[in-house]
Amino acid sequence: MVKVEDYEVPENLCYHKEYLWAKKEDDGKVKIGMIDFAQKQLHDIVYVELPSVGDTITQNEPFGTLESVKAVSDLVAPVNGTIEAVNEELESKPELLNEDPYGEGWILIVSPSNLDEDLKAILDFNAAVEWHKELAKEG
Amino acid sequence: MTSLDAETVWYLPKKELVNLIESGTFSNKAKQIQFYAPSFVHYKNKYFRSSHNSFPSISITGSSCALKCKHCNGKVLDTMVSASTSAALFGLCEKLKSDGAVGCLISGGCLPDGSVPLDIFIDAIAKVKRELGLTVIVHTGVIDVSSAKQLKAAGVDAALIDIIGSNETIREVYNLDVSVADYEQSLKAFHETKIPFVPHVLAGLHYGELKGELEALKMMAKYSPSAVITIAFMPIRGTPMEKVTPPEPEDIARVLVAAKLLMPKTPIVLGCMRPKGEHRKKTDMLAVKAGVDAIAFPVEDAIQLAESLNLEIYFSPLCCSQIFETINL
Repeated sequence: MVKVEDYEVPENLCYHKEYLWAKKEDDGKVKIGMIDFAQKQLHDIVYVELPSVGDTITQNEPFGTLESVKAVSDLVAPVNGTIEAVNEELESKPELLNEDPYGEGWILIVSPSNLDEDLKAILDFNAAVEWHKELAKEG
Repeated sequence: MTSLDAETVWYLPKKELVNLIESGTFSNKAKQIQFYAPSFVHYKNKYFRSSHNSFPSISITGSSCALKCKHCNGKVLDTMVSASTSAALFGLCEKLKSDGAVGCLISGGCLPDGSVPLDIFIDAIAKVKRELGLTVIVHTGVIDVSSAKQLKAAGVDAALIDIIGSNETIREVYNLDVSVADYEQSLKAFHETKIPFVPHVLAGLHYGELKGELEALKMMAKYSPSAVITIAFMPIRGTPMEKVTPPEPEDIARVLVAAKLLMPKTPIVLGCMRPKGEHRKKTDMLAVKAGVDAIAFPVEDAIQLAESLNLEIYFSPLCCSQIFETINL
């Protein structure tokens, strides 16, 4: 884990520029969540609307929405795949996205359909650090 | 029903009110609706995406507020960009301008008398208008004629003020020792100064219940505001009212309809602060059916509904208070 100014950037994740991370798990599935920078910018997240297990998500396409004091926004998929699990706790405790964006605040687990190609279109750790430096500068 | 005026609508049972709204009784006669998405809220869907910092909100008091109202506790200030000196304010606006901003909302916490200390920033605000040409909206608290004149002379594009029509609410929720009459004096000050002003009514501010909103609207109607914005209490974490149930979507619609009936020639807007999630969907849909002229950060379903009603739709990156610049009723 490194910190770019106030924003945490874990090393073992890939990063989509629509502010979500993706992590390849040992079983080949991909866990998806929101980056620390985004949750800090959005402030208190109060509502998350997510798809269901069995639905498919498409890279760069919206799959859900979130709302905070500062946001009314689509969630955009970092990879293609079929949803294996949804973090149902977020329905009653959306604040988990703020409190633990890389842990308890995970959003989805998917079976990727084209992961190698998908990963070429998103950022690895080193690129994500540079991206976070730009984000931090923009404020 | 004998006549459909604001008073009648105010006391209608919920079902009757909804039936009237659903039947198109209050439908949008201008056949157009404006959707606003200034950058102080991140808004993104298939219709529109707010651009970064195109219209941010700025706090001239940082996170400081003397009132710490029970519904906010200063938390909303934390979401704004801080600029607590005149030099910082102008410097920030210069940077915003160079980054492509079209304007900003200048707000802040209140002093113990319920005013926002804009007067000590007047020179900076005038310079922002004169040298940078940004659209500048200011959010005032209770204000007198002298301060309103200063804002007018500085060239601000509009002044926003939350109007409360219940002394009990002012005292209990705002922790403030002023009265409804002081808010009326503020409206009068804006009116006499001839500065465009856009009062807000906050539905459900009194612990989620409607109390004083109709009185607030009646006061506004006396002073020819440029537009009227209805916002609604939403529970915010870390505030004394975080567990309070917000007003029902139907009650928010009730406020919108009453505003329309009291001020038929004034643009009526559903503003940015309102409860989130499914509640917001219901509110936004009712607002479109109730014939509002504008909505800030609408849900997609409401945009689709407006399309299905053959309303002309416009999106804007400005603050929704600017509706009066684009619509003639």
